[in-house]
Amino acid sequence: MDKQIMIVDDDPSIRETVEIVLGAGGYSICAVDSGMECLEKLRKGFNGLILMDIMMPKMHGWDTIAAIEDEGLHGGNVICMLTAVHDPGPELEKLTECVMDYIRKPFTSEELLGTVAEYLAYVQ
Amino acid sequence: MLDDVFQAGSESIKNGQIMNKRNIVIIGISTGGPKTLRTFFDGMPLLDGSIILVQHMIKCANKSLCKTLNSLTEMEVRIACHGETIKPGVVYLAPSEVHLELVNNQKFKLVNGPKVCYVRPAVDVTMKSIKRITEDNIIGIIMTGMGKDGTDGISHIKSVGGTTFAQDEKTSVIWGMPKAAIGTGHVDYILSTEGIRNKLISQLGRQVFS
Repeated sequence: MDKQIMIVDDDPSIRETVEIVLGAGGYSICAVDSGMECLEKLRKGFNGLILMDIMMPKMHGWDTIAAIEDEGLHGGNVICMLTAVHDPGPELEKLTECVMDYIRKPFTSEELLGTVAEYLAYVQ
Repeated sequence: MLDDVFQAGSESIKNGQIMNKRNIVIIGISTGGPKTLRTFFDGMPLLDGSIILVQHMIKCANKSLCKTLNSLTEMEVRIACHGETIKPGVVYLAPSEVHLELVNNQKFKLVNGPKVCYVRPAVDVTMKSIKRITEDNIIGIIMTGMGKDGTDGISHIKSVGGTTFAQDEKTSVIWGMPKAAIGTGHVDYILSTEGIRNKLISQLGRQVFS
């Protein structure tokens, strides 16, 4: 499977914005609205960069990442947080090896494209 | 018998023997690291020193980070190997999933062991393996990341006579590790990414091949 970008965010406007900006940049996007859907995509073989929101109902970003690690689904994927939470808090400390970067909302198109360009190269 | 030590370029003479002065830099960095390191190493010249880079990251990203940094700096960037003797002009990336120690400030030792501050490799482990050796100039740097890895290490670097840096809040993606290091009272300089880089270049100087 070619490298893709997965946006995991319960906010449809964020998903749409990311799809538009990255789509215009020529990237292949997969948009999901929950941690559960993210896990499902990974179980089906998603390979790429994951942009993960933190505050989501039912399963927030930290629990999603913990589940990714528990199920051995991290593989060669790269995870960056894309969140309005300014201070990540102690939850990031325990998952720090799993998260490559932390992008705060609101973000510019340039920031988003720069992050994707940087970290897609790390996907195996 | 000469007990006095005097400088001759990067060499010193003690008891009639030439002692090569080593400049050893240890950097601890975490979330936001790869992008920050791009800025840090961009255009960095070949320095008269060895840089040991402890970046918290997944193992499969180690080679990609080396490749990226190699494209930016005149220094050679590679993954540290067990038993390898450090050389000036090289940036050694601590491999993921093991701790990295330096034996007698010269040789790498990869150590299995429990995570320290939730991470492995931990820069605390690397920094605390450093010995006070008169001829060695030790620099410890803590950059962006969450948690407290590097806090004990920075204090140790000061205790063996080294110089310490922490990245400032403005340029840190996550100002956790630098803030914790600063809280020890043992950080000499709090600077931006570029500020640390420029100070390092001025302190180490460029490597000269004889």
